[in-house]
Amino acid sequence: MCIRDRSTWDINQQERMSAEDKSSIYSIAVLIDELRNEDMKKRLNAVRNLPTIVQALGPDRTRTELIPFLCEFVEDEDEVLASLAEVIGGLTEHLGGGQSLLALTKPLELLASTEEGIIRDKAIESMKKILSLCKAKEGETEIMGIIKRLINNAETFASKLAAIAIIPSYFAQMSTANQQEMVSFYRAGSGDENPQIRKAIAANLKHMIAHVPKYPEAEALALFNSLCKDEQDTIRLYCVEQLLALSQVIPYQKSNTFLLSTIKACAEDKSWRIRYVLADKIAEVGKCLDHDAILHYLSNYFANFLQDAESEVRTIAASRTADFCKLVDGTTIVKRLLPALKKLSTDPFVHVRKALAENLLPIAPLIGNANTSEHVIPMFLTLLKDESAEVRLPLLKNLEDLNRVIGVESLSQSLVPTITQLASEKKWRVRMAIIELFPILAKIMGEAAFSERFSPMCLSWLDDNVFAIRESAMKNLQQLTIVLGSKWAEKNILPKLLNYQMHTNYLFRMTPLFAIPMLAPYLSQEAIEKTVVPFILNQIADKVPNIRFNIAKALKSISAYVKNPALYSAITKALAQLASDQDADVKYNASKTNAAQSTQILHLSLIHIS
Amino acid sequence: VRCVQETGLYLKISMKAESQINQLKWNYVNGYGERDRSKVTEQDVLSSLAFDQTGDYISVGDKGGRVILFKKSQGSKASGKAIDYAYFSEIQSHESEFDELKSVEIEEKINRIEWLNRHYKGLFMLTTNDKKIKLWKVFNKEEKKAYGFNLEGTGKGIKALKIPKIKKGGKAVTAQLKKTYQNGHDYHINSLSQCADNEHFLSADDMRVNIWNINISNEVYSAVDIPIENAEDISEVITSASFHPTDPNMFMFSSSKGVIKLCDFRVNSQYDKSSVDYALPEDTQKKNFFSEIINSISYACFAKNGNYMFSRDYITVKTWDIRKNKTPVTNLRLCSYLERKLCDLYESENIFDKFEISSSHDSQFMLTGSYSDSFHVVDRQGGSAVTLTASFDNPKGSYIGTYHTDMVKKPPTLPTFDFSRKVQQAIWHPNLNALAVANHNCLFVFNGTPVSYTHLT
Repeated sequence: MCIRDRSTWDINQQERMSAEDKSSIYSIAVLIDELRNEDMKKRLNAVRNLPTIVQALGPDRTRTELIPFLCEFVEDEDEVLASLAEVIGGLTEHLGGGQSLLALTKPLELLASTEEGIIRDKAIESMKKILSLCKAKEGETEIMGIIKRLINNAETFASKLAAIAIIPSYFAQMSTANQQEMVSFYRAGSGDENPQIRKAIAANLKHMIAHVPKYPEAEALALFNSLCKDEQDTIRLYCVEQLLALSQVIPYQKSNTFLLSTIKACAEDKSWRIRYVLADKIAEVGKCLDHDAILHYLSNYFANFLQDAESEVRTIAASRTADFCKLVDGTTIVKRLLPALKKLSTDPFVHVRKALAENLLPIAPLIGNANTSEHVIPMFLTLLKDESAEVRLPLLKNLEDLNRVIGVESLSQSLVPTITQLASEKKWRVRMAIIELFPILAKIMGEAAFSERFSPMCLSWLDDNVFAIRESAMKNLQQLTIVLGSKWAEKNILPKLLNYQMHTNYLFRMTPLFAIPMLAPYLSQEAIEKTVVPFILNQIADKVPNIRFNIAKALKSISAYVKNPALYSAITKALAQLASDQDADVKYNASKTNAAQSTQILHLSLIHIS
Repeated sequence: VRCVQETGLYLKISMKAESQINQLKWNYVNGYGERDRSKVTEQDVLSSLAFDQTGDYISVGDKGGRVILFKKSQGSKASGKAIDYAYFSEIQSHESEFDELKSVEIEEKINRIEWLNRHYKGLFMLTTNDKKIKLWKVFNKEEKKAYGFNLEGTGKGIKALKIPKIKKGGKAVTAQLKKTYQNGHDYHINSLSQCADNEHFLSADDMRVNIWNINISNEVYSAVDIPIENAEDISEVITSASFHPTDPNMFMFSSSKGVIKLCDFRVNSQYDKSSVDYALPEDTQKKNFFSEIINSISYACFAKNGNYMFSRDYITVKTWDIRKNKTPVTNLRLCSYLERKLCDLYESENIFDKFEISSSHDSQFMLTGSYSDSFHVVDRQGGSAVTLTASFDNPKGSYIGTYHTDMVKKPPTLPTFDFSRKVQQAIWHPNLNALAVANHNCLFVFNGTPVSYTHLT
């Protein structure tokens, strides 16, 4: 018996094994077939599963059969091709090294030559990944073959764009002769009549600069100078990041005057987009310069950006103010920058004022008490009265910065009306944001001052007609309880919540049932047992089923904080009553609660015994 | 690039020496389309016309949403060396749609076609109806058929994996829809124009000029967005817009108030702070009931070298030197023959007909259409205007007359006035003296040969 059983088991096992094997072969066969399915979605799915196919075929068959098959793909839909270009980059781990790895570059070479930017970019990324795995000297002939074919493809200039992007990632591994050839290709590209080629060179030059001294320094500077003077500003846009790359590789003092003259040219460019880029990167540029140069030149340019005729430049400069101010001393901020900033506080463009509001208070710790009161506070008060809530809000978010320099208490008279106003703002985003601010305010102002001014407001949101607002009001109260402590909550929140019991609208009677479980962990034992639980039990006969099942839910979570056995049995009794309710939902929730509770009770009794 | 005092703009002025102006004698070469008008449906009426950058292809869009491509023919025996074209391919570019949200039907009519610069393999062409811009790729696709699938035929289990084989067939011209740029316009799109940086193009409707990156169809930058406070108070609409042919920072748009605005992206992101108006002050003495309608610029374009702008309104053509925005170089009352008939034209609503204008390859001439199958070739200085007709009725005698402002005082006129037969689109070959002229459902090709001035008169 036993033996027969054993053999049957073996046979079954064998059959099952081969069936599994078959089904996996079958599913891969389906995937392979679907690479050429008429349905685009199936093709896409098959392409995404290429790693599975490759694993099943092994490196050799992948190289000799699958890759040539994939090369026939290049006229498919863009989405399939983009996915293919990406997936190929991930096949490396299944293919070992050497020739198999290089085989992957064949379809990528074709994909990198397509006119569609998304496909090209993904192919370039995958190509770079594969080249980075190729060890030095390994397959240099093949790789250079690819690069040169891309460069010389007369049919489409897209392949040239790909070559420009790929060259820097393989430059270090090339032979000297090849390096020279690539250097002259880059040089020719920087003067190409097609602006897209020049732009590609400009975008990739920083990667080439990283190869200095292998990439000749003179060459880097020559290309940089020529691209900086390009008639198209989309090409000059890259000049700031090239400059940052140059300052990484070229010794500092030597390039100082050169750096300054380039920065000056950018700062005074007729095209606002160039000024924008410099203003955007001003802090990084500042790190390349010595303190003197920052004080004498860069801070002047920056002050000009703050007063630029183009609002976009003013916006970006204003939003970099906090970062830039860290590079200069307090006197410079006060003398050079604050006058410009002052004008921005009444700028006609809201984005400018918003950027200023975000950056104003972080300046306060840098310039000290006296200067803050004299310069920052008046601007702060102007912005606080701004017509747009988007401007007023960031000021409050940074209040802690101001609080560190001069106590906010002295400002509370001007703060309170603004906060009150924002809290009743029409835009819900603003209301939500201000609600989130209250815990911070509470921390800064302390319990007494806060509850005097804001407690009524925080509580009033519980009366809002929108549930989302009531919900965030509850979250806010929970946060405030954490900051201000249980006593505050018991004194301010609980009475308000208990009042809802009398409300005629059942939706409002629900509010305490939601709020109490949120607050429970932070309330005192006494409050829970003496006030909260009796309050909930009191409502058990409510005529609305919705209320009754929420009572069940609330009891569940709150029972974890109850230690009095008498109260416990009261809760159990109440739940039992609800479990035999007429309403199915109430029944369901009550019995669910019961199960949870019985384990709780068990746990509790164990504690008592021990 | 230098700052020009009068306009305050930094302008790129082409310093290439211009060849001497040669008068041209025009010959009818070929015509395409159904001759019997009774067989022509509304759908067959041509609505847009474009040459590609090389002049090897002409594309023609119609009210049925079709785009028909013509390819330069190798020169048949009959036409000799003439520049002629032959049917190449056809695309159904747009279909009529219904916008459920606004309860309006969107016609399939092709409003505009713009070819992209040919740096890639294949031809790329933007086409648009009132709302949706599409990018088409037209190329020779090799037919590839896969065979030897794993699951082919056999009911038996699969023992080993096979990679299918590919069988290659012949090549066929295929049009592939690459991108659709939509939701950028609330009003009807009237213009498409490619930027000299080869990466962007603009599209314009009555209220907005949008700049798109060719590669990105879900983002758009509104360069001009005229605020609308009350839809009934709209007093000025954009009638056409175009990028500068060589300077990627400049674009212009024309308005129904007879103004061309030239804008520079470098100066400011707000177009009203970075633009200069090219317009004549309003002549209050000559103002009449029709002034507002006939002063609206129906179309404006840059001369090919970028130094001039040509504009067309109902009666006149104007040439503006971009360095001078106060007075036009030329202000020719080309269609003054219509002035006496304005009342009739208003009654029949023909007064709202839009005639386009285009520049010759050497920037010396402008080309624009008129009624009674006729069109005009006008030299930039306004010295002469040649009137020709494009129709099957009398192809050989299509030359009607030349009007020289300095010799004959009599303005040009038309032999008859048939307002139902109008030429609204006519374009010039990008580098040769050849014209493509659309008349109702038909396309006509003309070739020009230089002649001496005196020979013509």
